[in-house]
Amino acid sequence: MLKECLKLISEGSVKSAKDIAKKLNISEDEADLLIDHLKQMGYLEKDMSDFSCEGKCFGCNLANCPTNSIITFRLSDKGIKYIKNI
Amino acid sequence: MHTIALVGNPNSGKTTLFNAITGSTQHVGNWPGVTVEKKEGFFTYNNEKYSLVDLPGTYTLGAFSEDEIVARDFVLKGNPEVVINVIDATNIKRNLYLTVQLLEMGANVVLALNMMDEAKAKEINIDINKLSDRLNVPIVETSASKKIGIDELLRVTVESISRKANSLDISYGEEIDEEIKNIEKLLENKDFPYPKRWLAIKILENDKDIVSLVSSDSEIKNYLERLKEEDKIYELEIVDKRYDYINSITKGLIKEPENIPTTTDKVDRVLTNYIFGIPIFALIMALVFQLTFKIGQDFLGGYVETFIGFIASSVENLLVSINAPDLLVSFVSEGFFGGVGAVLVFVPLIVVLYFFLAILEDTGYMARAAYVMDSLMRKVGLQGKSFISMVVGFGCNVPGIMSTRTLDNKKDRMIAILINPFMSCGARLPVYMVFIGAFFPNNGGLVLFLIYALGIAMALIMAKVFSKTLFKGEETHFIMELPPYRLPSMNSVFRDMWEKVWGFLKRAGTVIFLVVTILWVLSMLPAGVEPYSKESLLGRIGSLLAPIFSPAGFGTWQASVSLFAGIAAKEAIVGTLGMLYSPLELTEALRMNFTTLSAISYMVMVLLYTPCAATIATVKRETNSVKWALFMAVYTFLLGYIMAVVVYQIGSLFI
Ligand SMILES: Nc1nc2c(ncn2[C@@H]2O[C@H](COP(=O)(O)OP(=O)(O)OP(=O)(O)O)[C@@H](O)[C@H]2O)c(=O)[nH]1
Ligand SMILES: [Mg+2]
Repeated sequence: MLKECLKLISEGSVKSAKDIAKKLNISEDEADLLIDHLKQMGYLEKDMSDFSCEGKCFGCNLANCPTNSIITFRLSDKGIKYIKNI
Repeated sequence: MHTIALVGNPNSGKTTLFNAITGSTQHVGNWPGVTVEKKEGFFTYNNEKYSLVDLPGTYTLGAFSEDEIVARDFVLKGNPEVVINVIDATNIKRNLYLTVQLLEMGANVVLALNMMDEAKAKEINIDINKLSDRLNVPIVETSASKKIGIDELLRVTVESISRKANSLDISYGEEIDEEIKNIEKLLENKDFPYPKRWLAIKILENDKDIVSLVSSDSEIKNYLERLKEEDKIYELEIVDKRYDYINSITKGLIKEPENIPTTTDKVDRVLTNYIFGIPIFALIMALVFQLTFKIGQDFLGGYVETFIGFIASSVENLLVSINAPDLLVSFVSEGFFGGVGAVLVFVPLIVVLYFFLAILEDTGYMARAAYVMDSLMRKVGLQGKSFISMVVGFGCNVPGIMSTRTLDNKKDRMIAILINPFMSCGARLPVYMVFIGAFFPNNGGLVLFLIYALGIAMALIMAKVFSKTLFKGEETHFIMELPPYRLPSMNSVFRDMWEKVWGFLKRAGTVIFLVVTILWVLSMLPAGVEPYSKESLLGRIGSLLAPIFSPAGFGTWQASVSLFAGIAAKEAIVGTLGMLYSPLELTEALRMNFTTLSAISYMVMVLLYTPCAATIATVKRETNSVKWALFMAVYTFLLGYIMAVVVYQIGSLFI
């Protein structure tokens, strides 16, 4: 399942846990679980993790930190390497 | 004294159970860990004293976090006679993953099936006897918070002390089982303080603690290096196999009612619908603009305008009454209030718009918007994630462009940067508003929505063009967290809104003030010229530029000058127009100098042409290239100009 899940993500045919649940015919809780394992093992990594705008939004004071309500995860280098090998 | 450990997932009720067992009179000792601590307490059962250790909650027993290492080390090295594995009965399968790992370690496990009250309320039915048989582990039902089942748990636990636990051997499939055996062989007569099979599995799981421990042995080190060279990675498979095992063990034993869809599920079915998702997003945005217009402009805007007007005339009267020099009176009334004041009038509008945007964000809708836009974005060759940077761009293009850093692929990122300025930022809003006020007072919300929509459309078209010409490359993918919808927290909504409004005010007091002052000076020179006239220095410069814009319908020197002032900061367009046309009221002056059609073409120009200096500087910094910054400044100008001309020329055929 984990492998299939990672593969689906790498192909771009799923965008959320709900999509994964549908494609793999499992419950959403189980899909969440798969994603959690992939995150924990470092196959998925959080976007914006290296993004900080403190003191960087110079010039334009209308600027404040980018939206924090949208959290996305992408395949890490480890994940990409793994997918390439199968 | 016998030692008993409490292990379980976070929030499964370990501490509640710990308190229920040890009681408040018991001594609780702390061991400080690096980031976590375990707690020890005591209880007596049949006149014998036992030590109970509450461990931090974990989902797995890998080496992924300090918590896990603390829990695992205690189970393996603290020599607890019994491990009470606390399980959330409402979420058995997930919780059993930890159980399986404990059993693989060879721990002497007693399962406390906690939260039984909730499981019953949710009509989850568990065949406990069979589960106990299949797992070969005693199971006790508890409801720790209600102190139900505690005595039974203690009885079974104490009984189990004399029980001999066998470690669980799961089959991981031929290939992995073979590797496990090989490693076990290598581990023979080597002195690591862990069970051999467990160690072998952990090695194959690439557990960083264990791997570094066993790497001290050269034989094992070589073996691991060989695996690495052959790209043999088993960790995913091992996790999968554990779940397979759990599924086979629980098969037929857990009966849950059909999943009742939550409110979030139901709402999502509509809002993220494959077909209706995008139209609904458009509708919501249209509604936001309509409301912004009604509340911010029609309702609140009037008060602020009157207020600023009142202050302006009071200050002017005061200055005149104390015989202040004419130049000062002119600067204050026409430069400051005419210019900066014209921008300040829009504070309520900005407040309301950002209030609504913050609400959309805080409720969790924006994440759904990004979700539904994904497929559209991909069609134009953009990564779905770029939509996020576009949403940020609605606030301001500077952070919008900076947030493209999250796009891992350089080509995606360049495209996202180049189209970001078409996302109409908050600073451009006042420009549309004065024109709407002058020409479309009754359809403000609609016009505003169309402008923003045109911006998005232009962004998508240009993205397609760029991905077909300048940048070609493969897509990368991601998944998105769609948290449950929630009521917006007014606290964060207001904080968000306030930050933006404060930024707007600060700009009015700094950049805009500066630009207006410089332009005011230019319009007073050379000495003796009639202020704000065509003969002033500013008028002459503007007149040189004006013919360029004639084909677009706004070939006046005032319009030309204000567009260039807008490159410093977009609000300066309104500030400049306000000053150049004062003492006339700005809307009135616009009606005299623009037609409905040229107002439209002017707004199109403002939407699309060269972004402000801060944005251009950000492009330079983010792309690390002056070339791209210049490209951005020039191509947007040309595009804005061409579109304005097209709108005006085609419109002229009909009007
Ligand atoms: N309904 C119900 N709630 C319970 C039960 N046991 C514990 N809770 C509640 O579950 C929540 C978590 O309990 P804790 O004892 O803090 O859980 P924990 O396992 O110590 O959590 P961590 O320390 O984070 O690992 C608390 O709000 C408890 O009141 C139970 O049997 N039934
Ligand atoms: Mg606890």
